[in-house]
Order: sequence, then structure tokens, then C-alpha cells
Amino acid sequence: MSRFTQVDVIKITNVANGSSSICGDTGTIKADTNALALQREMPYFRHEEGNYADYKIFSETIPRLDTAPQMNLEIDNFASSIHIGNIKILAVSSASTFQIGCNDSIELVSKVKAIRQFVTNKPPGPTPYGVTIF
Amino acid sequence: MTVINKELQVGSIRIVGISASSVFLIGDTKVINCSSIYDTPPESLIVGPFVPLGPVGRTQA
Repeated sequence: MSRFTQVDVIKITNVANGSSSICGDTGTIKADTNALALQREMPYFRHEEGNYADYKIFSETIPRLDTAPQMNLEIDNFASSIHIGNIKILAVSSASTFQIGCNDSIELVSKVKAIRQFVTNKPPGPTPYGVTIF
Repeated sequence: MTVINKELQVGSIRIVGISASSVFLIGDTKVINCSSIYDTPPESLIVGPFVPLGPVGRTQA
């Protein structure tokens, strides 16, 4: 399974959080990411805050098909090629994949726990950063 | 089943975001297995005095 790939222009601004951007052929792509999305009314965050062990979703296993469907598949890639003109991508994020070419299998997992925190004992006046937000 | 691949031609593509275990593929693959969990239960809305989240490094809650 291989194909000749020709690309004129690709412009990608950001590839983040366990994502990949591949031009050409690969075997297996496996990526996973865990994230705690904490939105706090007060923009104050301690250095070592947040523990994945406190939240159930990060230890939960995801049921998935382990075996590929058995079928008689013959692929003829003789004289096949991929030609790309222009691609413009702003962001590839959270265990995502962008590929031009062939691969065998892709396995991606992303887990996000969102927490919103409203603070009742806000300090009066401007924040330490000199910006009034309340 | 026999698949015969010929030429694949793409003109122009513009994408803003590929996010949370998604795939953008120009080409071939055999198996794609993607899963994404996004958890926002009512308990995750906390209203009260400022309490930081549990510190990093512990293995148990």
C-alpha cells in the first residue's frame, strides 16, 4: 500500500496536544490525550493543580473493536498517485491526525473534563496583573 | 474484492480546525478507530469560595 504523493503548498498554523501531521505513508498512528479544561471566574491558577486520578473519565476504558473485519481485499496501487494543490489548516488539536498518503490503521482517543468554577470570595479591586475583571 | 486505485487530485482545501480525535485523510487506510469523551456534568459547575483543584502527583483521589 504505497502511493506517490505530490503536494504544492500546505500551510498549517498549529499542531498541538498529541496530534500529527503526516505527508506520505505510515503504518499505524496511535494518539491519545487527556485534558482538564478548567474555566475559573478568577484568572488565578496554582502551579501544580489538577490531578487526573480524581476524575473517573480518565481511567475509564473505551470499548472498541480489536480485530479488523476479515475480508478478502486486494488493492492495486499500480501507477496511482495523489496530487494536492493548496491546503490551509488553522489548527490540528487533541489527538487528531492530518495525513496525505496511506496508512494501515488509525487509533485516536481524546478525553476532556470540563470544570467551571465561580468564586464567591473574590478580592476587591484590580487583580495582581493590573486588569480589572470583576 | 479488488480495489484499483487511480489518480487522486485535490485542488484547494481550507480547514479551520481538526479537533478531539478527528481524522483528515487524503489517501487510504484500512481501519480507523476514533473516540472522544467530553465530560461536563452538573457537578462540574462549582460555585463557592476559591478552592484549587487537588494537587498533581497523588495516585488516588
